[in-house]
Amino acid sequence: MIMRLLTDGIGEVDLRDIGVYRSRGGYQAVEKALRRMTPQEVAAEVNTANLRGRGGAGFPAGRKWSFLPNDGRPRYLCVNGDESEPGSFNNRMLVEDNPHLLVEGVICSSYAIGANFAVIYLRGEFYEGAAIMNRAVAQATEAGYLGEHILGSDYSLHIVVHRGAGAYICGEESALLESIEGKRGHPRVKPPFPAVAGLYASPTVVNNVETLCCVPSIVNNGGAWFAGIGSPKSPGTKICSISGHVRRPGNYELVMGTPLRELVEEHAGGIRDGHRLKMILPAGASSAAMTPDQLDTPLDFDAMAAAGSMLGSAGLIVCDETTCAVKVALIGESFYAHESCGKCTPCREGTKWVEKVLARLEGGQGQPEDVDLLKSLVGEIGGGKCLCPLGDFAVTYLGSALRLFEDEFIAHAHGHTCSHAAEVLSA
Amino acid sequence: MITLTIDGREASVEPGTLLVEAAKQVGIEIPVYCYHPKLDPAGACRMCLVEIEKMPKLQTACTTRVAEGMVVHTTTPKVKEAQHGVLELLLINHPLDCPICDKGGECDLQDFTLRYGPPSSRFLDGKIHRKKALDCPPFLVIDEERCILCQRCVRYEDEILHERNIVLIERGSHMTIGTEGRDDYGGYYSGNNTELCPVGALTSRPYRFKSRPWDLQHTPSICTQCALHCNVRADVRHGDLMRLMIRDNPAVDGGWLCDRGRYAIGDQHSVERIISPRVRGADVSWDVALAEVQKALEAGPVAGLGGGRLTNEAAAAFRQICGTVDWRVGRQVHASVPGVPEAAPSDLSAADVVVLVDTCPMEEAPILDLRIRHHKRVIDVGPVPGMRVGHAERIVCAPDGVAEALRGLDLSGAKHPVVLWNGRGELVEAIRALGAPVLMVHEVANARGAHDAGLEVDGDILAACADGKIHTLWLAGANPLRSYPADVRAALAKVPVLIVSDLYPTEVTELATIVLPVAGPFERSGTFTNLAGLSQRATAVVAPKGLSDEQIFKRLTPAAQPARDLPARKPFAAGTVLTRPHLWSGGGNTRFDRTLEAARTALPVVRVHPSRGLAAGTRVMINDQLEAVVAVDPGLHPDVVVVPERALPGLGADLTLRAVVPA
Amino acid sequence: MVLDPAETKEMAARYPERRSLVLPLLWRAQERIGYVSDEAIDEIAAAADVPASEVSSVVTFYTMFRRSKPPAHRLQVCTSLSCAMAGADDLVAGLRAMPGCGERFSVETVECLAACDRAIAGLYNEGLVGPLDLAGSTKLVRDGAGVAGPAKAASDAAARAEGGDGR
Ligand SMILES: Cc1cc2nc3c(=O)[nH]c(=O)nc-3n(C[C@H](O)[C@H](O)[C@H](O)COP(=O)(O)O)c2cc1C
Ligand code: SF4
Ligand code: SF4
Ligand code: SF4
Ligand code: FES
Ligand code: FES
Repeated sequence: MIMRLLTDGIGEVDLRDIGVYRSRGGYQAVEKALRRMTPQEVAAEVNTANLRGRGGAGFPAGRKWSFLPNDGRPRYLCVNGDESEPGSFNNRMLVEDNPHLLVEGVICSSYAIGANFAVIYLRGEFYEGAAIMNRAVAQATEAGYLGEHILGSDYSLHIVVHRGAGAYICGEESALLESIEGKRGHPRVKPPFPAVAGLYASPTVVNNVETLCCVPSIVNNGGAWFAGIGSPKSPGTKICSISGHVRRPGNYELVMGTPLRELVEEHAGGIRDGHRLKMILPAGASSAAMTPDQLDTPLDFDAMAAAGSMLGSAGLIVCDETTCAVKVALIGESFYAHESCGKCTPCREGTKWVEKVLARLEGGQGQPEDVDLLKSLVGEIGGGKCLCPLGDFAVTYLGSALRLFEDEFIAHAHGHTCSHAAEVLSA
Repeated sequence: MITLTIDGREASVEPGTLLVEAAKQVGIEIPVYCYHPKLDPAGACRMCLVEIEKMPKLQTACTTRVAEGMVVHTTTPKVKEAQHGVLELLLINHPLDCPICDKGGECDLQDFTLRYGPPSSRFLDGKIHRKKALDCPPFLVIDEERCILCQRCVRYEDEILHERNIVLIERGSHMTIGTEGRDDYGGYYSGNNTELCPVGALTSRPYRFKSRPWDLQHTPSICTQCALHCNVRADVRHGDLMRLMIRDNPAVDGGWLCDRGRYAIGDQHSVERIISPRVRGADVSWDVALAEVQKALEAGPVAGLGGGRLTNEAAAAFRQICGTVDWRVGRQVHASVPGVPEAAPSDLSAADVVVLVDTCPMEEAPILDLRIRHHKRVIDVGPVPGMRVGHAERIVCAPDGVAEALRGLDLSGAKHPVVLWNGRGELVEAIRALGAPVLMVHEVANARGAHDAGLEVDGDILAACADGKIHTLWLAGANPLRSYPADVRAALAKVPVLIVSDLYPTEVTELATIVLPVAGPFERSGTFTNLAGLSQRATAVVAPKGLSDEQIFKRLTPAAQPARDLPARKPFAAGTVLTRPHLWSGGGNTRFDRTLEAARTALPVVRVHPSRGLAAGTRVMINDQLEAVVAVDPGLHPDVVVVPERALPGLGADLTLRAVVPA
Repeated sequence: MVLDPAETKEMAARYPERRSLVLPLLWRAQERIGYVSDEAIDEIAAAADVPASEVSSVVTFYTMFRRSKPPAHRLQVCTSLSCAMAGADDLVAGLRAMPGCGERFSVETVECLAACDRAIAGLYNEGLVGPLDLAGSTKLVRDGAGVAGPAKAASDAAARAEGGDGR
């Protein structure tokens, strides 16, 4: 079911204009929080709301905030707008079309955790998004929502928009912090977690763009209200990005728990004419493939995990029967080989090797041993052996495809090119 | 204490211990590549994965800290499979050129592949090729193909040196290590990388293709290139000194060597060494030479200068033979500050404020400098700024204004201040007034030993020479023409017999009546006392060229008439033409470092204040004698010019810098 | 001088620590002269108080920083999954076969641009473009014209938030 909490007004009015945004009730959450609530009360509402992180892992934001030690060090909020998982494009829409909602969410959240400095980290390719975000921050500053003594309180907040420069790994929270510190984006060893030693080794919260965009409505309507929307264990809405072989690719904000089928068949208009569904990668290239028989799975964190895949940031890639499972694996693996930061051995060496084997298979140069080799490489790289989850991401789809579509891999391994090859790239 | 079980063995360790260290304590090896006890855990290579009960995934032993009751397994099938995996992956692009690799035989990749690796590789696709045998002067050779990207070198540069001479380049499977933006290695501590590197990716040019590890004999000894006396392991192959390796002594070196010390192994085969004793220009036998010496010792008043580079035993013997000896042949006139507590090198690590009194540890005792690089507050007082990595508060003063500048310093807010001083000038009172522990950074390697052996006299031996009061002057490893802060050519010319014992020809061997070649470092045994008072043994590991100083002195009978009633010592006027020992300029804290001088062919540097209007990089002749290149240093006192020590002999009070156009 | 010292100072005031200036200043340098020059690296190193070699090392990590000047027309085509499924590889091959490729204009492949609903998506210089086809992209690399600007792109995506079919 569509429910427009975060996307209300997008496409109808220009929410980038702070006047328009305010005329529709914008910044009331800031007013309410700063004038009538203590930081602890704001945090308590977010906790009650059971707002789960939209960046992929679904970790409750309120609990994450509660981990910050109270030791006098400055605290920071970093907004993860690195959105680089193939298939996800919902953060870009929020940044470009509803920037003040994010600013408002950042203000409320920073207030709640006691941060006076927040960074909105945007992937480098968001040239337009960065300009829009900077403008929104300037407008909000001018309107007195940012800067010193916000709304006459003794709370101050400064936001900088910090741009990445082409590195998927900077979406991983500790790599993101390194990147803000001006370094190469290599993930850090954890523990310590960012909550304890994050930006400049100070307590830091990293939250996704969409997560923080949920905060204003929680402040306005209360945590209990939010907790009552959608699935009890994954409340709220989720903006689902859907692309691939569907009629109407796009972003659809759905109540958590909406069946996958409704998204694919109703909102996205179903599979393109004359074709039928083969598989869905529900959390982008890094997720285990789901098959047509799983279409009734509710779109929420737990149900998707129970179905053997994940909701992630809900970047759904839909493939019809013309799609070659080996080719999809190759395209995905090239991505991970390109984006591996190189810090740890299995991911750095393994993704490139897997890519080479898949390229051989796909090009008709397969060897009979290759299927077993791939299976064993999935084990060498995956299963939590790497320093950060990218290593697992890199072999998740492959692992699932080797189970679901093993026959295709075997055919390739015996030198046959794909039976779908002629069609796969002609959409 | 925390108790845990590793492979069935119970271990009891300090809280916070890493699993890999806990395992070591109960004799269990967990293979590691990126982990190094002196570096922060990186969790990068994934070689150390182990199984911990109640944890679903394997964990890295190098990043996991022990917990009470933990049950760890390091040899389960799951662990073995992971080890196979990592090794297989590390080898897919490896060039497999072990037969021609210097590291072969002491390479962790070879060793772990044998112990933990898969029997064969399944890799069929083309290897990625990279640059090999890349020279990184002055000492390193980089082989990108052998590199397993454990990032130890990169982390060492960052965490220990706070420099970035070696960095990561590119990312993912294209990632490699190297210098960025320059072709050479920019710092003083490159050699440690060759020991940190678990494979043959970073090796030493001087050791290249020289030996196999199993052919080397290891002997513990110490470095005597400066007064710190870092502990080394001398590796000798068939009588030749091949290399020096770290022999971690936390109280002295903290487990590192500087390049000056590590690569000072060229004396043994240097063609410049003096080989034969000489009397009045003619080569003679030892017997003849020593007979001449004995004669000279009996012919009139005798005095000795030097001793600061001798062993404690030789220094004592030198004093016995000459009777009147002073080790102070340079600017350093104090070996200690009486009445003030002494600091040890390890105190530097805990200090909250470090005061450098006209002292530059990076040049004068390089490894000491590593202990103060992370410090928030370093105060550098003096006319010449010391080379620093990291920040220092500069207090600029005229050469004769150091004492006054110190009086303006208030250390009362500091909890653990430490003062570093090289003993130059009359600053004892001013330093005492600071009320902080002092660590002396001696100018010559065994100044402390010579001082303790009583090689100090009240009065000025060179002034006595000038007055014609000395018949025989013995310079033992000393060259006052370079080190004495005044021109003493005339004084030396007045001495009827000048004896010089040294390794290399110098300005004074040319003036000498008798020249005695002596054994160099690693050719003679004996004890040395370091700047903090610690006596350690230097062990001879190769055959000497010539006799050792101690042997020479022991074959003589003491002088009949030690020099007496010396003229009073005049404090040195601090001129505006100064020298600063420079690690590579032929200065430094020893006076016989020809081999290292040759390692850096660059022109000597003359440092001037911007107000002199000389552009950086200009080539100049110093008093028409020595060519140098100008460095402009706004941190200098405006009146001061810093010249290389090589320019000192013959440098009068007047300094001219004449620009030259390079041919 | 590549950077404007006054602007650098102003940017420095926004961050608690100077080393955070590395990425923003690299962007500034690239905006000013089209790429990151050695001179820019030295200036950034000084401004951010990190060694120049580290700044260089950082540059090589991020794919969007260039060490040489790019051609005037620069098209980056996404070849990640959704765009590949829409024929990105053929499009790239077609464009690369055109005369002038590599000199007057460049065609590079990039990973997902978070615009998969507009597959085949691309970046023309700094603007998001898509859906791309061969005819449209040809115009683009020849004279930089003929494709919807980024402003339109954003509202395209937004319109779909409602249900995508214009309800
Ligand atoms: C390789 C990798 C890439 C990631 N990319 C993103 C991203 O682009 N955006 C994001 O919000 N989280 C990303 N994450 C997850 C973050 O590490 C982090 O969990 C998240 O920002 C937390 O925010 P949330 O709790 O609000 O979801 C990524 C994680 C990994 C391992
Ligand atoms: S898993 Fe990959 S991306 Fe993550 S730290 Fe290791 S090499 Fe880097
Ligand atoms: S050069 Fe050696 S120490 Fe440095 S990363 Fe490579 S293997 Fe490790
Ligand atoms: S610091 Fe001094 S003693 Fe230590 S290695 Fe260097 S020269 Fe030798
Ligand atoms: S030694 Fe533990 S990950 Fe490298
Ligand atoms: S796959 Fe091309 S923009 Fe996402």
